Amino acid sequence: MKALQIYDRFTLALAAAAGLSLALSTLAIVVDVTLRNTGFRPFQFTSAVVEYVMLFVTVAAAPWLARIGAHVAINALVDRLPGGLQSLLGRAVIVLCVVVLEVLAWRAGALTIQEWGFGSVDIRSIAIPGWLAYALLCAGFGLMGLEFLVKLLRGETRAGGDGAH
Amino acid sequence: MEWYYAFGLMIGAILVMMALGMPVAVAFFAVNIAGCYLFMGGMIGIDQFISNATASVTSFALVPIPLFVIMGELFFHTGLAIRIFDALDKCLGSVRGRLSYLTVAGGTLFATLSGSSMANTAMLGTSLAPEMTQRGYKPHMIMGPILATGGLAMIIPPSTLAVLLGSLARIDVGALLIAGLVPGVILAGMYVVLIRTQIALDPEATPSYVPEKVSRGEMVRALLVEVAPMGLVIFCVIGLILLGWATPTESAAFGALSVVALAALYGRLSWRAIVMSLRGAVVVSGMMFMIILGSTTFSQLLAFSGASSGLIGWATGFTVSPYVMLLAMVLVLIVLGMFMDQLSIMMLTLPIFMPLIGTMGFDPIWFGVVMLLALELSLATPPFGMLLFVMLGVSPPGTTITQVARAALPFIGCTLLLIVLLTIFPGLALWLPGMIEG
Amino acid sequence: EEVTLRAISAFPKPLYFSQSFQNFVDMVNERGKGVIRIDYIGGPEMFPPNQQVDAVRRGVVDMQYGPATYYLGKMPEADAWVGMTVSAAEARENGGFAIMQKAFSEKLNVELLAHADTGFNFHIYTLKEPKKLEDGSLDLDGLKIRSQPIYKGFFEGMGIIPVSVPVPDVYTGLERGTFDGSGWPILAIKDLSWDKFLRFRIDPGFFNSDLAVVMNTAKWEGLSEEAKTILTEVSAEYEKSSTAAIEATIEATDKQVRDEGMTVITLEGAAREKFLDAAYDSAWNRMKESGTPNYEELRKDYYSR
Ligand code: NA
Ligand code: NA
Repeated sequence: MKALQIYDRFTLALAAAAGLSLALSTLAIVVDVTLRNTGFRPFQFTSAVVEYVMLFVTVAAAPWLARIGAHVAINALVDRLPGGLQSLLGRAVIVLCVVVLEVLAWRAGALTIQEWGFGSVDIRSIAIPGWLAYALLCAGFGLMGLEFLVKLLRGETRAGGDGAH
Repeated sequence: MEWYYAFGLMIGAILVMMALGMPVAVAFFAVNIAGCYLFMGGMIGIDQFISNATASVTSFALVPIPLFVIMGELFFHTGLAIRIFDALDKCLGSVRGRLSYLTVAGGTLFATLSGSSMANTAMLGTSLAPEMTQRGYKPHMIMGPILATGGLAMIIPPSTLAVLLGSLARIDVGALLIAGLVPGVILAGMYVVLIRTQIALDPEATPSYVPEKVSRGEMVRALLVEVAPMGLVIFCVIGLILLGWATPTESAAFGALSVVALAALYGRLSWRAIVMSLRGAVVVSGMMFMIILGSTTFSQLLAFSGASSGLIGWATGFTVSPYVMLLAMVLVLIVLGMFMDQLSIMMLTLPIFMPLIGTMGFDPIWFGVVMLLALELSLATPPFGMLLFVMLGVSPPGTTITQVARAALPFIGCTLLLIVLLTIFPGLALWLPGMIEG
Repeated sequence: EEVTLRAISAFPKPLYFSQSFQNFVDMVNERGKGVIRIDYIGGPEMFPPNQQVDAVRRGVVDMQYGPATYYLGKMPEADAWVGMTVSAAEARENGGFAIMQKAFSEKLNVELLAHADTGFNFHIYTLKEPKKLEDGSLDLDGLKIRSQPIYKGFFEGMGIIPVSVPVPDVYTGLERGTFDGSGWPILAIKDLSWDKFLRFRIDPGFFNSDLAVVMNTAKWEGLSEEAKTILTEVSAEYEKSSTAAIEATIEATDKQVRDEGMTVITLEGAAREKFLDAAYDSAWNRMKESGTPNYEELRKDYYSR
């Protein structure tokens, strides 16, 4: 299962990138404020980039969070069901997650292409290409859905955790 | 479609999805897809949902959340939290449930540093909860105080929500900010009384170990060495705001960095601690942001379908006495607060509420405080209170939402009681701004 | 058969501009009885401001009121309104408005009905009195001023350090002196109580209203001739009446803030011209750099100083 191993590593690497981007955002804000208060000109890109980092963290962490069961779910009611029904229902919920997320990924992908065609720009403290947010959502939804599919193939019956901190 | 059908359909659908064990974020997505298809006219509705979603988390207002979580995680993973707790343990001696009280004290302090309830709760949850669990505190004595004091952040200034409320309600922002101070402190006091009562009713809820007796000199030493340097962190967060060097959001970054500096000073800094802290920040903020992505859009859809305005119109449509009307307004805020984000609630309700408040002769600033309290309450009310999910996300595996909600309940009672007190004694909110503003 | 249009606004209902749009809605509903009706359903609580024109283009809603510069990236022509010095009525006469209608249609795929609330300016407000130079101009070099994308370029050109701070953080920032001032339209200065700290206003104001009323194209084309005529006539009328309302509001706000002790620093003569040139050139240059073929024509129609 070489392919699966590579895939697992890729998911982990994305989550690591999310962590790194949070660390860099922290430093960027510190540098920005320090420059501003010492008579230098702060970088204009900081606030726009940090805002987009929030979206990046959301989508980059999503598949890995799905793997470790850190997307909060309420399992209290399902837990009371008999075992067979519980795993059947669990699988059905995971399938539904895959469908929902892949539908969103498909539409977000279509909109990415559309925005690219419009040449739109998101004007913040600096201008950011308009398709970027859509592309991030497309990738995030798509990979998160894929992770649920992998969960299903691995025989798991639970979509989310009760907190996996 | 009548508003109550739309309301029932959307709320019913999300409840069913969540009860089936679907991750909360995906449950919102599922209902949003169906709702957008139904209310916005098919496929174009789903596309609009995605357009709306691009704006929901690319927001500077969310930045304090990961920054405060990094701060809390660093406290925990560098072992600074343990050292501070041990030191305070020495000084507080055998006070039962001392860490629960400390949560209230620390939480109130951080409420004056942060304008975001979610950030405050996440920070307290990540730094305090693991340590308290280890020391044998029952879950409700950990989660209740954290949830409750986390919410104080938007009552005690600075408060992002109060600023927005002031501008939308067309009342003086400064007066509203100051008006929240006394009620916020009273609320913290009520939490202390509540914890004392909970311990009296169930002494087993908190561990009863008595730390070894220490001399006064040792106490002073512990305070100076372990607790006093915390001042650096507090300075970095609030000092930088007061000195005018950084905005409340920006100062959170300095706060995180100052914990790193402090840990280095104590020789406790390691790559592992930094990596684990970032990991925690990714887990907590990633989980929260995904829910925010879904719930913001859900909230927008609820507004677009006419369900929210239908409820508001219905509840305020009766001719009743001012106090019954006030009760109706608070109930609307709490009900909407269960399902919607707070800014949207303000945009929907204020145009209707403020004229009513005017004709009924209530003070607008006083009502602003009541509204903030009701909105704060809604963050912790099941089933959709965002703070409940935050708490669940930072709690040990196996914690259930029922446990979290039950822990929050008595503290919700305190807020309700405070609203009643404010109605009887409006001066609790209005005295301080009156003094300062002349 | 009466047609109903569902409309949204980029601003929450209690704010001035949304009330202005409500006037437009009332005018149409009054005139259009039995023919056309607008149902003003809400604002940012339903669609984020930047995504509202998408909702109109797709037909999720029929009509929208909001700033055109939110879509500056898609439609550089929006800068014609930022840098405009003529009245909306003149632009309707001289063909400028028609070019804008074409731009809205080609770039945003929506029908432009009205250019609302023209006649208000933006101003630079400061916490402390800026230093006056010998030539009568102000020394703004190195001042940290809270900025928005449309005037960032102008600020930088004058040596100001533009600071990007989200609205809820500005109050505390001004209270503590985290930055030295803010740019803001004159008539909304009291909305967030910023005027408590911003005690100095630099006159003249610069730039103009970028507020547009737009409609879904298919919906527009499907309207009866009678309905179209009503909308067009009311739009032109609303452009005039909203400008008159703005003038009255500016006058009242200006008197109020002066009475409350705000100091107005007025640039005169050459310094004033230099200041305004820098402001308006920043908008027109931005449009020129975008490479739109409409630049020359729009500048001719919308700009005369
Ligand atoms: Na606060
Ligand atoms: Na809520």
